[in-house]
Amino acid sequence: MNHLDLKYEKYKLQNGLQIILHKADKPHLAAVNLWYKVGSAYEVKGKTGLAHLFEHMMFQGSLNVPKEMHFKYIQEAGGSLNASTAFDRTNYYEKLPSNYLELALWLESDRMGFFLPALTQEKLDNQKDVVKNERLERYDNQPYGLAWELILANIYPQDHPYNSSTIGSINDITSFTIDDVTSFFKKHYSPANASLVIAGNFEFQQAKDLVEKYFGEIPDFSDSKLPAARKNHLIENKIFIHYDNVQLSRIYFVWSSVNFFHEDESALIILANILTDSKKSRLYNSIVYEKEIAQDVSAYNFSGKFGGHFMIAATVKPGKSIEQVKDEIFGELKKIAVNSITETELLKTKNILKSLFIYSLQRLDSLADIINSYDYYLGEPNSLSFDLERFTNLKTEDIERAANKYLTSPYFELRILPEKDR
Amino acid sequence: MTFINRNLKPEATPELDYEFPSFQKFTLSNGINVFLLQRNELPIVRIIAQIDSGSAHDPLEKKGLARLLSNCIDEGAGEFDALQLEEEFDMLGTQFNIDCSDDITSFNILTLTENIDRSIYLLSLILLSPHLSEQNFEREKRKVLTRLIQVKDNAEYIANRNFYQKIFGEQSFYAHPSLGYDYTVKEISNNDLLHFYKQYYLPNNLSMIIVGNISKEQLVNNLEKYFVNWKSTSHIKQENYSEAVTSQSYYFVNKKDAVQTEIRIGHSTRQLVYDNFFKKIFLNTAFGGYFASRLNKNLRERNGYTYGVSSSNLYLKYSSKISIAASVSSEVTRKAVDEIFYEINKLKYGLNAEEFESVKSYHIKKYPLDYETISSLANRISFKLQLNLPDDYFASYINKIKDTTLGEVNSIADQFIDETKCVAVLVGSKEIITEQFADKNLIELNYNGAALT
Repeated sequence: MNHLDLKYEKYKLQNGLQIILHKADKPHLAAVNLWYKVGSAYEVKGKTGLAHLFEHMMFQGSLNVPKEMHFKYIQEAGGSLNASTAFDRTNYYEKLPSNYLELALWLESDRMGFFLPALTQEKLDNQKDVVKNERLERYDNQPYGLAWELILANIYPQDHPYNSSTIGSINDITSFTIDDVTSFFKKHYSPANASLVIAGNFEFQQAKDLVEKYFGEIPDFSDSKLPAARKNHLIENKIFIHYDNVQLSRIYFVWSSVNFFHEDESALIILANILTDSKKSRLYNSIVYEKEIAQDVSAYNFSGKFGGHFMIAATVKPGKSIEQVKDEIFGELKKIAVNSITETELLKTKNILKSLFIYSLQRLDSLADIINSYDYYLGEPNSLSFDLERFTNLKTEDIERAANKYLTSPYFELRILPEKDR
Repeated sequence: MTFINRNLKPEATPELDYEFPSFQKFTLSNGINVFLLQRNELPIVRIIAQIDSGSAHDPLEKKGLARLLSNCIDEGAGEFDALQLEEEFDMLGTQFNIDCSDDITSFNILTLTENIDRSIYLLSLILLSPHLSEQNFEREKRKVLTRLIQVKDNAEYIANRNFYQKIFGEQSFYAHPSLGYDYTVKEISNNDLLHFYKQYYLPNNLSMIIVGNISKEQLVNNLEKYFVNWKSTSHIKQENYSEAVTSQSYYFVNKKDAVQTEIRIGHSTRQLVYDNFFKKIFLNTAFGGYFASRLNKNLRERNGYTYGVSSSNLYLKYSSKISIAASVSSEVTRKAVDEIFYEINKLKYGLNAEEFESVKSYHIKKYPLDYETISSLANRISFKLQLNLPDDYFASYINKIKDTTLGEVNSIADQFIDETKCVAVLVGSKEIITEQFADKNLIELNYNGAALT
């Protein structure tokens, strides 16, 4: 039995809403997952954070669903729900006992079709306060919490869709008006700009009838335009020093990388793993385990629809030199070119990924989201096997080539240093 | 313009019939208790090997010992050094981690069924023949000491650490964090680790929970093969629980330039009384246990003071606690604290019928969701073992919730949280907190919970 082969049916309603149905072996559960093809990449300067604030507003009720009731109805039905905003998309999802599928469709369709009549200044003011607190909690009041925004602002050009974070700046959040929220909805929240996945235990015809009943009458008013795609390539090294209330220094190196599903993306993901994901990984072994000059080290590749970057970050141990940590990191990167990646390193990483793909099938809500993700980026929902093969087909020289191609180009260096050292 | 009647909330059709899958219980030849629950949807297995000792068993002057042992125990075992051992797990694609909490230390494995034999072998090496070498110990100890410097940055951690200390009382073995304190970790030697290991890492102090795609025959075969030579010996647990009685008090820790205040409010309570267990589920959920709770409606959805606020009723083996946690904008710290106390006060009068029914529906119907993954099933069995809940806990759960009445719930509402015992711990800007709480007897603490005079 091939667990990675996801059978599905995909079709569109008259108003352009795309539907993907997937029957999964979950006798008691159904998941609804709705992607709107809009995220912070679609915002304009001065209004950063609007896509995310809007996500909050979508839980403030609609014409037939009073404030706070969306959550309450789903939870009373024994379901879980949430939403999230990324650069490229906003998703809304419910997972609930399968006999409540209709409830989730009713709620999602009511806010897709009848959100504006229920919008009030009071609701907006309340959620602006909530989102400001979310920003304070997750960014401003966290140690090293501003690193992410500093990286985005420096690795992506001013006019690049990824130049700012999804949460947005406090000033921009404060400035949002009812008009901002209304025009955002009218621009991006048309059925034709969305994709609805239903996964789990349901009858196909019954699900189709329910979708038609609740979503069929919502008019298409599509006006969403893709942001201008721009390359993000640094032309020279940049450095930025930021003082924060932290005990230990942390150093970050960031290179421009590639878009989602670019041919080099899988090699960069494996490279990150080989550099930092185990005790024996190159950087961890050198600076954390053997030399003990760093407390931790991590690496990842981020790729999205409009660009990407590769990052390495390390926290410097007390009394150790930030320069030494930097030298060791670059020393290890150089070694990759000459002291080639071993077959064992590569096989180990492939095996970890293979298992992860199987583990990821456990949760129906994650599965529904994966289906929407593959459809959005590849146009093919059944892409788990294709995705895995991108990794299993790699050879050691592919990893070395990616390291040489991307990690020898100009980079952005961020140092977050303790305030007391200023 | 709409063509269907959207005013009507659709109802469920038909009723779902869901039962918690039954587990098998058996004992290996050397006394290890095993709990097996078969789930065959995917070719994967979850294992939790649970040592019935954790940081609550730390000697008072060596707090942090159990956790440091859990950091060192997989740094080499049997024929493998630390790096080889991790590589063995990675080659299998098996996820392995160790978690040390108050009452237990658990060894968690997630593996493909095809690799279960090898995964269990590696686990047996870690439990039976860890190297626990001096060199690895010294490195891991330095890492923990650095971590203890780093946690000063983390308002959430500091709030929890000081809160636990104050609600359990410094004589309680639940008062300290599993990491310990810098001055106690410095006192720990590798011999202490070896002693703790010999004292508590024994087959009769271990339970195995296995959930997933594996037959009983195969499992018994795998376990017997690798654990058969591990013999039980008698052991004495050093347990010195003392119940703290707190009175309403306000503590704070200064975090320079903080833009938010971390708030913890609550107190410790007696250990679990099964008669009240289900009533308290109702009270906690309605009070602060889900999105539609009183606290969240008030502090987030009405006042916008916070991104989220919740209450939790946490059970430990010999005690439990009721607490409220929130991060709020500095300028509204006092207002938020007052609202929390307003809700605490109001809860004494019990729940109304509407919120009672809402909570009942939520707990009955979310059962299938709660047990969707093999990890969530394994965690629930672990919870049952830790608290020594009756064997029919799972089978009777839904009926117990169904049979609970509003009258029963409200009969203990005034005991659920007692405002006269509530300790408030605030971590944030000293300037703002002292100004806003000028009418309270505020006690300033340092990061470790010591009062500053």
